[in-house]
Amino acid sequence: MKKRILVVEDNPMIVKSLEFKLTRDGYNVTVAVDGREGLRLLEKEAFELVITDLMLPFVTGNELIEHIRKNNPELPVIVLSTSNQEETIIEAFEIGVNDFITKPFSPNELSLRVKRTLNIH
Amino acid sequence: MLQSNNLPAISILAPAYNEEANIVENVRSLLTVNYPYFEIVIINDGSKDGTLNQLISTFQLIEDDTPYHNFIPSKDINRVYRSSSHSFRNLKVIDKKNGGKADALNAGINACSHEIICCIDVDCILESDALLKLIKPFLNNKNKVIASGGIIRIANSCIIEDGRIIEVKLPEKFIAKAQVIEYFRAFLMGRMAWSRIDGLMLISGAFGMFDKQTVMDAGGYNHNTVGEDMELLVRMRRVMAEKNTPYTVGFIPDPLCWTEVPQDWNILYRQRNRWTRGTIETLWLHRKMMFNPKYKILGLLSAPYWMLFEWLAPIIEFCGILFFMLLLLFGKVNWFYVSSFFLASYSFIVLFSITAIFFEEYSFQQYKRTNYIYKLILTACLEPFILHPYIVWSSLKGNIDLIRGKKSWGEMQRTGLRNSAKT
Amino acid sequence: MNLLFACIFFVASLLFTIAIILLRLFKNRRENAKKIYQDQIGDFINECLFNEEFDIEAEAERFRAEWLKTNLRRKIAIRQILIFNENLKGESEKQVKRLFYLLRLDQFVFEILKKSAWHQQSRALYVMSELKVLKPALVAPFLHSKIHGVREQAIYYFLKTSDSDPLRFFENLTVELTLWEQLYIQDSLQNVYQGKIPDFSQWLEHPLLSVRLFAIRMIREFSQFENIATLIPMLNHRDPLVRKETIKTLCRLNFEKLPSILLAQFQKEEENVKLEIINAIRSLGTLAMLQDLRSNIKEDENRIALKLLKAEKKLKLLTTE
Repeated sequence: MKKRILVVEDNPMIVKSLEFKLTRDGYNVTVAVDGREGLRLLEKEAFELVITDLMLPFVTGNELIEHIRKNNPELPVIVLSTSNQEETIIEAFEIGVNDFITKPFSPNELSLRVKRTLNIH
Repeated sequence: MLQSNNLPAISILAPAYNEEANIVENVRSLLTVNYPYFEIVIINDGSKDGTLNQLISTFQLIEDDTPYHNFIPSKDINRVYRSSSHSFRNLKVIDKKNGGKADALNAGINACSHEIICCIDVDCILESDALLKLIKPFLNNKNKVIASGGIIRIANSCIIEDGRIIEVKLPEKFIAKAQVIEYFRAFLMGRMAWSRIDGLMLISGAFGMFDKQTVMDAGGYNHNTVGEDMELLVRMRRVMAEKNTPYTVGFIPDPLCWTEVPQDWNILYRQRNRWTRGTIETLWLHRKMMFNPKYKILGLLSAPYWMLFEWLAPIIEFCGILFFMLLLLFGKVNWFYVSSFFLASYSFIVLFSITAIFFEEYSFQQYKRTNYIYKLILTACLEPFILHPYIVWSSLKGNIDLIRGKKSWGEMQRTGLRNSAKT
Repeated sequence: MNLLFACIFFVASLLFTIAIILLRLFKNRRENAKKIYQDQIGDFINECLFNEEFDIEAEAERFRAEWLKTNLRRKIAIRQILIFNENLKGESEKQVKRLFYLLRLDQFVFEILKKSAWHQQSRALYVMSELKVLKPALVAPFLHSKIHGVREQAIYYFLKTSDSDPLRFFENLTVELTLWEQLYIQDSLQNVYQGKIPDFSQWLEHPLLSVRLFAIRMIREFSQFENIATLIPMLNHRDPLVRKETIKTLCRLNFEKLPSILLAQFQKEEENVKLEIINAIRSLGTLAMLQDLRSNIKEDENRIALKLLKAEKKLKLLTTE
């Protein structure tokens, strides 16, 4: 059974690349283009990992992560964000993300970190 | 787009009068403007409702005792507030005695901190890059820039969430659709052309940026006119011309600000009536400039244009209709001539509107749905029969009211842009 | 006569109406085509980046010959490559840049630079900066462009691509820099340029006033304390703008003797410089010094009086805290 990953990201190029790369790595990828859709999908389906941006339309990444921590504390979350400000990163870890990757990002590195996060959990 | 932290700081000045219903939402939306360094100054112009209390409780306001000086005349300020919360540290609220929009803006100019000011209507919706775009002429010019403005768009019926336009929709009511065409004509053809020859006489009061020192040197907004936005720019230009300082007025040909236009015939009537009075007052106050070569384009072209087309045109049109009625009464009408003249003028005005729509379609194409353009073209054909006569009538009454000495602004009732949009 | 005009206007309206509708249909079609093209080029780039069995060189050659046939397609390809380049790093970023050359898009950009309209040239310069296409000789002439947008992009190119001496182009500058351009250069130096920051004192004698002012400002922004001694004589420069900028810089560099020098100079200065002096004394001087200034203020100097009042208040607040 393939592991299911939810990608919440509004940049179509990044969405496409992640979908392509992660599918090749053997995962089952579902995409949400904004926070609202992300929440909707999380209610409906089960995932083994969530990769999310922080700046999203309608519902921000932080709200999404808080929601996950409340309803599904075991689900690992990786943040993929343009922000490299220390405050933002610390705040994200405080609300319980498992990993933080800054854009621009290296797809190979991301692939490794996804694998590692899934192995730990 | 340059996002540098080194851009000059801007003071955004927004007068508020009895805005209790929407003020908090409006301020929140202003606070999210995309610009590195700005303060928002809300001037509560003696509201009779809970506008001030709403602001005080929501934004945790405390008294701000920074000294200020009345460089330009304005009614007494009761108190200046700032927020005690770090998240709203760039918010300032001035509570003053009621004195009208011009007076409120003057108080804001006296008490604000930065050298570039941006005067806006508190309920208009800014494009997120609006300030970044409007500041550019000030920095990218060899001459001193005294003011800059941009294109204003109509927000009626658009879908708005958290102070952002989510989807641009064509207004449903004819009266608003016809004003969309009017605004196309005014901004895409009129102001664009005037700015090319540096002859702009008006930067809309809904959204404009000014060099504070030049505004103060010119004496600030005039309390005694209902067309304070036009009057100010004309006076600033006049002062610069009299000092012989080379200067420019910038115009950004991008849609920067969305505003609600009247959807009610009575309110529209009052608005246009006021615009007419404002125009006449401004032209009268600065009549010295008319046909005066010392003021270059402004005296030789802009001012005469405004006199002829903005002030006299409705009067001439009305006289024409009157004369026609007289002829009709005496049975002296040459019907062939009348119908051919009617056809010529009608097709001309339609051509004018259609050209404006064409420019919009060519450049911005903000009305994305294809059936909107058919509606717009239809509106352009109907507008001369329905909206136009009403506007002529409003302007005419403006002339009469002015002669009778009417000064009032006429309260503008808003349908509550954001709430209506959510339904 | 009227009928003639009516006919002309009517026909013209009709033509414009048709033009509007055609334009809309054309734009709709182009939008749809763009979306399809974007997906196609996006898929191709993803294959190149993440499919190890993909023979990039052969496939790129095939893709170029079969797909990359119109200018619209080339432009969309470039835009996609820029987006990938901006969001990726490491091996993938190198691969994206390589793809740009394999598809011979560099040749396409050079063509645009040679003969297209200015906004296309400015766009081409932007592409060259972002992808670090090293052709300085080709770009240099655009530094003298009369069009702001083009000049801006040329400046950006040199800042983005040079490893050292990013402001060498100042030597050839003949037209004053606008404030906007100065901000642009500063911003690029702080955020884009990777190499060593130059010593700005070399431009303090530049023939253009805007460059001199820029140099004084940058000494401040990049904290070049070593230039304090060079700046001191400029407090007596004949140009008030230079004096004002120098005061600001020396203040930020914490030059201790500044308040006492300025105190002596205050009375004969003009308004804008006086305002700056008050700022400087507030930061480096004492409350007593500010109070000293008060007796020197003339009756009609409201701006200065207000500034002084604010400064005194701020300083009192700081000392009591």
